[in-house]
Amino acid sequence: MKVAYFPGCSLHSTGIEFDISVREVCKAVGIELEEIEGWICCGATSAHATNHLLSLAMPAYSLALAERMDVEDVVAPCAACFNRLKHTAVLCQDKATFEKVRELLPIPWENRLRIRNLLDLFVGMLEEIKPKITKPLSDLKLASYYGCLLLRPPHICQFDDPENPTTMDELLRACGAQVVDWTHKTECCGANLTIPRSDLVVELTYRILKSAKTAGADAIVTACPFCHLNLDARQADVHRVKGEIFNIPILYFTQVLGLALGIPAKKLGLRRHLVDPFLIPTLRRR
Amino acid sequence: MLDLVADDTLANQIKEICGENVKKCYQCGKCTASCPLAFAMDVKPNQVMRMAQIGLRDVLSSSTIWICASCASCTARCPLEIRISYVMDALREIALKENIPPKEPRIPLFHKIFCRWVGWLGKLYELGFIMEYKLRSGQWFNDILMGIKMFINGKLNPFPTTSPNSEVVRQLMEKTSQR
Repeated sequence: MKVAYFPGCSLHSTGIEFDISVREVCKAVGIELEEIEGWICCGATSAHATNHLLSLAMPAYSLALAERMDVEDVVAPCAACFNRLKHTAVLCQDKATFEKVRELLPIPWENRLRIRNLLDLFVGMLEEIKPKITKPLSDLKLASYYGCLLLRPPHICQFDDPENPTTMDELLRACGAQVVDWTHKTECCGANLTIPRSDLVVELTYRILKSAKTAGADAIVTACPFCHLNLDARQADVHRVKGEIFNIPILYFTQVLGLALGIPAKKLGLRRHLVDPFLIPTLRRR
Repeated sequence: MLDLVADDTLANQIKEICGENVKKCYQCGKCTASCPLAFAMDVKPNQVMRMAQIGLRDVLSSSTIWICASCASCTARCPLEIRISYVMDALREIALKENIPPKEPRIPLFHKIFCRWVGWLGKLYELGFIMEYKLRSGQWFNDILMGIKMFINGKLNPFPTTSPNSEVVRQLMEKTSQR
């Protein structure tokens, strides 16, 4: 299966382990990723916070480039990119909006591609993936964290139940892990406020970490580089401000799947996290 | 005496930008109850809706419009299906256009620098963008330790990644800002 790949800016830098693990895992399960040549930033979050039309036009240009490729689907692993691409595709189903955006673009665009996130893609092919899981993570307790942008607003994302999503749970269970029942699955981490108002992000991530710890999770699994940054890199600040040490590793769901598929930990970028995932004994043996 | 005249201008401006009709709101308060950041806002989301309905332009200088992280919990739960997160976006857009001094100046500064870097390179060069933000916001020493750790772990790419189509981004920015 060949899909157009929109990595997004974060996956070249703060979310590099997401990119590394996405590529490894897709190779292992037989998804061919072809990067959209010449793609531009999706504009999240600053474009939509300042200019509505620009926030539709930027993703539309990358989608127009993808239409030149021989594909039906565009895959954006980053939840923010997925959200912005999908916003464009859905809001431009309205003819007037579509015309307004198309007029701005220097190349033709039909808005005909499907925007997918990787969770959706993997769960859709779970029956093919299951036999390839050779190293199940049976003694691992995981909290599946969806955050905001994969799910909301629901009329755009059209993915899973916005209040109690279960797609990632299903995937993690297929990897052999136990999935804990917890309260903060879909709560916001504060996203880009992490730079201008880190105090607020510390408060929000504290609540999320606390909930996962109370539920007995060994690690939190995320699908978004924003969430990852806030939960992983801000744990030191949470300790400083709240006086509580969590040391909960934050993993991308692609890393968990990669480990279960038998891909060695060093090929999945696990060493790049700030909270060391090898604190978990099960992972040390991988 | 309170001089209060209901005025449709703001409601119409919002509708023009994002298509949402703030007048549908009947003040159930579910948006505020759902908002993870309501504790940090000076005007709560349901109050924002009320102010937008009756045209109280003070809402444009509230901290709320900048503190909102666009998580869309309000939008997912609004019983009248008002996309409140789009209303917040529209209010930010109006506040910027009308040069209203923001109560949380660092947040719009963040957006401005973000857009400029994306305009230059077509993609976001995170390290360069953060350095410029730090210099201009005065938050020089925050997050230095975190930044160093991330750099050591290879999570801050020292080299900019660029798109050959950065010119397109600049054109889009120019065309959309004229409207």
